[in-house]
Amino acid sequence: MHNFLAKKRITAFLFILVLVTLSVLNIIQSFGPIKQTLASGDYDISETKGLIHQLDADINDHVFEKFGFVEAYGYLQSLMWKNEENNFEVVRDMEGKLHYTYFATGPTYTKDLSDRVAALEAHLDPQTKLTYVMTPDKYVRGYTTFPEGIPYNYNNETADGFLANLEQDGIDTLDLREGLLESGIPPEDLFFTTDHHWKIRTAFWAFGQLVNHMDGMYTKSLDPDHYFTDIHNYNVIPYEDIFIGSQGRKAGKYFAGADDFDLIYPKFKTNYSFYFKTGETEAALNGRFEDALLTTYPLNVQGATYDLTADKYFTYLYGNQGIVHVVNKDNPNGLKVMFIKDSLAVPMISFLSTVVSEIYVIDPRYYTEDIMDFASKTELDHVLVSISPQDLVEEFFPYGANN
Amino acid sequence: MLFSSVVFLFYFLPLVLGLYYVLRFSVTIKNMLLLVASLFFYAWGEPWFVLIMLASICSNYVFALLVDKFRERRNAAYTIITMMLIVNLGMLFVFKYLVFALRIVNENTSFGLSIPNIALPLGISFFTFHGISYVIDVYRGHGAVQKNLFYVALYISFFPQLVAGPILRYNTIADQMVNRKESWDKFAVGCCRFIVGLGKKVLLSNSMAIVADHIFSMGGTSEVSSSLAWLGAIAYTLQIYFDFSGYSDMAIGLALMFGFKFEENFRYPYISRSITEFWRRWHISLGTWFKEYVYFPLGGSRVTNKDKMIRNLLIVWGLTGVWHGAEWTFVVWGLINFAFIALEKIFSFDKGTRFIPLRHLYAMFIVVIGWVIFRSPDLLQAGHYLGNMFGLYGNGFWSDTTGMFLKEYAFFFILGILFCMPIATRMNKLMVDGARFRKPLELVYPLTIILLFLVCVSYLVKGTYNPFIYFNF
Repeated sequence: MHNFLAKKRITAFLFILVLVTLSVLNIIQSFGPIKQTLASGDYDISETKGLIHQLDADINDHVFEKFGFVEAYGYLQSLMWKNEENNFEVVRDMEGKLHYTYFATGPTYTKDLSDRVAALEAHLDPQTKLTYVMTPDKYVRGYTTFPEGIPYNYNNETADGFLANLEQDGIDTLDLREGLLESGIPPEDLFFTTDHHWKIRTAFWAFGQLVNHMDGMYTKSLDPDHYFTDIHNYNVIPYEDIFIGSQGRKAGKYFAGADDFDLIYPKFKTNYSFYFKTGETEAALNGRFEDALLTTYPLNVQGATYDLTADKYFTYLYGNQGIVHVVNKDNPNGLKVMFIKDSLAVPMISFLSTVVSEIYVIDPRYYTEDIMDFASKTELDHVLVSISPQDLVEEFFPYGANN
Repeated sequence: MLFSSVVFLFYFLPLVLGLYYVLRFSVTIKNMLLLVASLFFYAWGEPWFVLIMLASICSNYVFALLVDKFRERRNAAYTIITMMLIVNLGMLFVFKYLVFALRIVNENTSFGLSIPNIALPLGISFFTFHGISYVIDVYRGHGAVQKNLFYVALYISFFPQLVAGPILRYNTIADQMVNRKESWDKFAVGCCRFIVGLGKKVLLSNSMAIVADHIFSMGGTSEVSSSLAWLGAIAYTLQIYFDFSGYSDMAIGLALMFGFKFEENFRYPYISRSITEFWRRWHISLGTWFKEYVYFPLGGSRVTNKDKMIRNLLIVWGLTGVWHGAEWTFVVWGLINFAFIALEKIFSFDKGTRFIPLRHLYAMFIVVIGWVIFRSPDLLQAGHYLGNMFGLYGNGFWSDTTGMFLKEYAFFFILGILFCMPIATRMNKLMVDGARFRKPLELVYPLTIILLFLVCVSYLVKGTYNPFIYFNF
């Protein structure tokens, strides 16, 4: 019995050591946020639950070496040959790319959403054209395969139904899923492995497709010499193994690795003014494409691979903002365009700025004013709505509801 | 606050343990610390519910004093006990069963009563049973009445058993509250038990919960293959065992760290060969509570004819079912257990020693079917699910989803099935008895347990799926 207890005593000693060490380190790590919450907390008895909830969040968000533990978790999932992690939060396809998915039995009903787009079009000045730009889903039809039984979310089928509804309503659409596999970009390079967004080269290709599509709608071509849509007129700076995307941040780099990131910006001379406002935060910049529309901060962040501020995808237009206004000073007589979009469209919009005069960009999640009102009051040539298949939900269509 | 949370592991537990051992010179101060810590532990989730628990503590304190004073006056004592039951069970009824009762009334009459939105205070079934146990034990003379409100409060609110049991009878803990002795050995055994319980909950139960919850959410519809339905049922069977026994292990382990000894609550129930044996091994403290405070007072099995015994069993199992939740599924689940236990008693099945593998299969079959009904949101969906298990809807036997769940969770299924059996106990015995394997195992054990703890932490920090079955209780 003495020996039996000896191993328990050693275990208890180690446990205390680990517990106290992690406890002290955690308290140090979360001291600032906890102090801040306590200082700003509402101590009314009816608000206590909210305060506790916030403290709980502070503690969980500021665990010592949080992402070290997440990586350990991801490593264990890999050791078990798992293709899903944490209740199907993220799944891995046969190629090793991560996907968001859920158990679904069929496409989602989206008629209400397409009706809202139709209502938006009806509300616009008759001179203003509207196009719905459907960006591709990371599950690329004809290419992506899931291991047997991994649930498929029917995003593509939902997008099909949505586009069919729009076409029935006579709305112009551009389906960027078409031609994707013939784009010249190797299919494995269309999307990031660890992020749900398309790669910047894919967004650049989409910019070309969009320009071609719009060229057919105006008497004057946006890019008559195919100069602006030619990648050879752009600098492409590759950064290797630098990016852990939103899906990778959930699973850890040992589950799916890290992505390369290409920064693409014009070689030619450019001159912009850029303004954004999200909530109370606003800023304005002027200069070349790379000075006004790009922030290289995420590419230079050291030692914070998992930090949101290190998200490389948001090097363009400073990510998702409530409203953005870009003026291409070198093209004063071009089109005035407005984009209602989700994050996928951001780099594509940046490139589109080279061939138009002005772009307004509205993110329905962060823009609190009336989008229809803004669209009808602003002098616009073209409104583009671009919400990707996975975001075909009410949150991204807060306008034109029947009620 | 849950044991399986970062705030408990790295803030609450080290602080309380540290203070406890700093203050070990005085039992009173240690107990005061445990009481304050317990109230804080309870308030962390929903501060208002502390008031309900304090009301339960105060009322039971007064009832115990009264029943002790009027013990000799039979009628007065009975009146006090009746009042105590009305207050305790009334409170439980309001918070747990009122909505269910109103729903039944509305479904069967045209009254159209409005149904209030009542949140269920965490652990109310546990602290109500603790309160009842305390007053009845005092009345029976199983432990002296506690004149100090503070000790009653500690008994009812002691945080290791507060939200998920085990259900402590007052007479098993009364003396420990004032005369317990902490020791390094108790602490060491408690630590190991706690980590094992954490592993059961965080790794095995939560992983099985992912499988079970997905399949049960599909299973109510009639599109699930037989194999998938069985897989979901088995996953839930493992989930509920590792959830309940994991929490009990953590509670027993924590109590040992503070010098308390709780009784065992689960003894490998899935190796049972009858439903009667299953209930001797499953949630032992709940079974004992019903035996002590319901079954035996009704006459138990020592009654003149079997009719009365059957009636007593029916009452106990009806109540056991209802205790688990306010839904018909729990009632039916309780009655199924009643039916098989009654049959086993009538035919003395439990005492048989032949056809052991078949007996084991029979017991597990009934247990799994029972859990399906227990887990389903209503009887209709339970029926659909059972129909899927037996191929009544022609959905075929196999599906890709079955293969996927089996592949993705193979590791947890294998570990879960292995650890349902007394393998850990055998290994411990091997270490004590066998000289050959002792040394290497002794070296491996501490590292394995600490690694297990760190793996659990990685799951918790990652924020993996962490459902809490006891919210219903």
